[in-house]
Amino acid sequence: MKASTFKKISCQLIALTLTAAGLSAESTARIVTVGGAATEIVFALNRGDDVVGVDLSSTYPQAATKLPQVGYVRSISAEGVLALEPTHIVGTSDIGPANALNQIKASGVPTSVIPSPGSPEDLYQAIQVLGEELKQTEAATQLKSKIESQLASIQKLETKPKVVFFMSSPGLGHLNAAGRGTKATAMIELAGGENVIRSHPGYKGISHEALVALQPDIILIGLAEGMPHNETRILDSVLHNAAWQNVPAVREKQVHTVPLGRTLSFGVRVGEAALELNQLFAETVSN
Amino acid sequence: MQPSPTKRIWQQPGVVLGLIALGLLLAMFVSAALGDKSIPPTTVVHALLNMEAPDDAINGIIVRDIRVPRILTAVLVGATLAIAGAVLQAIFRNPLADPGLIGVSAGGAAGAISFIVFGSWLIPASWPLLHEIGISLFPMAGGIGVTLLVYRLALHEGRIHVTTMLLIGLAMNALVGALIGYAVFFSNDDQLRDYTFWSLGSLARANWNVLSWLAPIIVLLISALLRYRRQLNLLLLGEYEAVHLGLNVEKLRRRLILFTAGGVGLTVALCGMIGFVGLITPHLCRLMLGPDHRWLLPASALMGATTLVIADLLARISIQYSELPVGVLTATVGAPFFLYLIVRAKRRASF
Repeated sequence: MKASTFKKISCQLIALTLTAAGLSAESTARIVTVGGAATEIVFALNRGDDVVGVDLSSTYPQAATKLPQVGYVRSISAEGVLALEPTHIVGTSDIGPANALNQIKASGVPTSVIPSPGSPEDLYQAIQVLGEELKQTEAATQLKSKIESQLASIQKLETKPKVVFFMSSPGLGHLNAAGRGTKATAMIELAGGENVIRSHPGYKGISHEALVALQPDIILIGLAEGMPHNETRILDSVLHNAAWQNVPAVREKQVHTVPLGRTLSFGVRVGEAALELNQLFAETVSN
Repeated sequence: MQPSPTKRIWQQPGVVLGLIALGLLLAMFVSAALGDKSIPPTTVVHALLNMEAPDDAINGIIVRDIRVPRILTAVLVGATLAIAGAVLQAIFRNPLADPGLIGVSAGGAAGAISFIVFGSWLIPASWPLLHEIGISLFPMAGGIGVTLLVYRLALHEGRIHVTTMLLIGLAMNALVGALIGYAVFFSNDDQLRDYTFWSLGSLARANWNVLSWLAPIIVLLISALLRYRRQLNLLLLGEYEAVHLGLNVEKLRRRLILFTAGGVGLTVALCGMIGFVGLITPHLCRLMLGPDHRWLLPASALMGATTLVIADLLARISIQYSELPVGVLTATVGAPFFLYLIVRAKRRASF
């Protein structure tokens, strides 16, 4: 090997090493995400490797659940978050208590709070804001158009199926149903259905009789991911309830469990979740 | 009281009081030095003396603006709960008296949840200060209101019938429980979660702003309660004996109930329900010092402060990066102790 070639190669090697070192110095960003939607978006914008801590409501993606926990989104500890030495904190508007959020902001660490999404529009806005703040505008545009195209492929249904969404397991006897203004209602409407429970806002108990009176075509039961559930037993408790044998959903066996986080977070999986429900609704209506 | 001319030095009340005070200072320093973020003790000392290096800004903020206000709040709240417990045990002449017993905590809880649920309708969100004040005042008013009502109903021919009062306290707890049930039914998910965390008891709301109004009120309140230490000693002899010794028992009780209900309501407003500190610490102090309220009241205050500082430290460091509600911890230790007291009292058939 000629001396000049050797020199050239070693120079290139050194330059390469320096670039690599520079890159690794660049990637010392440490992000703490608080709130399921915030975590989903940051991971979807390819910054998952920089996330060093999440809260309990961050159940997606899988990688997030293995990171250090800073507690539940409404009751995080300011020192716990700061102890992870973050360079950026991203939260949804649920983040609290207010005192902890103020203490975190006072520490000078850049903190972004996105509105907790309850509609695709909220989600698009959150994606765009975080895309700019995390310098991933291109990924943000791609993510947004992917979700838009998923939502665009939802079929319009001539007859909207009548849906009831239960939050807790009916096997326990308590029927906690989603009412007006809930994310469940928003999701049912997005997927082309109609929530027949309009009598109350939020999630409230309804009587066993109400289900007979409302005659829903489909009953959805939301189950929290990561919790042990006996799905067969839960479904059986509805399907074999003697009082409900005339309810269309029970008669036609249109009682389904759905994963709560995926269905109701209005995070990056909103398109997939809505499409899936849409298919279920379409099949029910055509039968 | 037994004559005890041969008391050892460590049995002298003044020495015991001094030792508890030393323990409190030690607990406060250890608590300031420990947390999720490991900060070298020298930095902690520097931060406490307000002379840290500028490159250590975050550690300074954590010690001065997160840990220290929290420790001071624990001192004030713990002292209030414990001295309130000691006073209530004396005026009810019942060793099981606890602020929860006469409806203070339940009234405070009802006030807080009413505000959480209905305050957002009444007050526009653009006035956060009004929300801060409301969330503190409503539980206080609830605590005092329920306690006064219990007191009124139990007042018969110018005398308070203690058993009736305790039973009415029980009924008020049930009624307030029903009120809370309505509020829970009409609240949305966020409000419900806020209420849940608040009711578990936590010092996470502590900051310098809160301390600036809390500290003067609590200090005044505790000094006011300490002024009654001799009258409480007279009451120990028995109600009739106290009256014959020239003590206005009714007036004394009325005042003490107002002070303790106000003080406990204030702590409930700020930190939710932190149970059993007011029950256990006076008992521990009585074991060490005997029943003399001249020593028992200040010792209970110091011991209550120490207990809550240590409990809050455990709540902060037991789970890495997040924290347990401190009320859960005090109840875990306190409830078995409460059972022990009941069993012991039953054996002695003393109540």
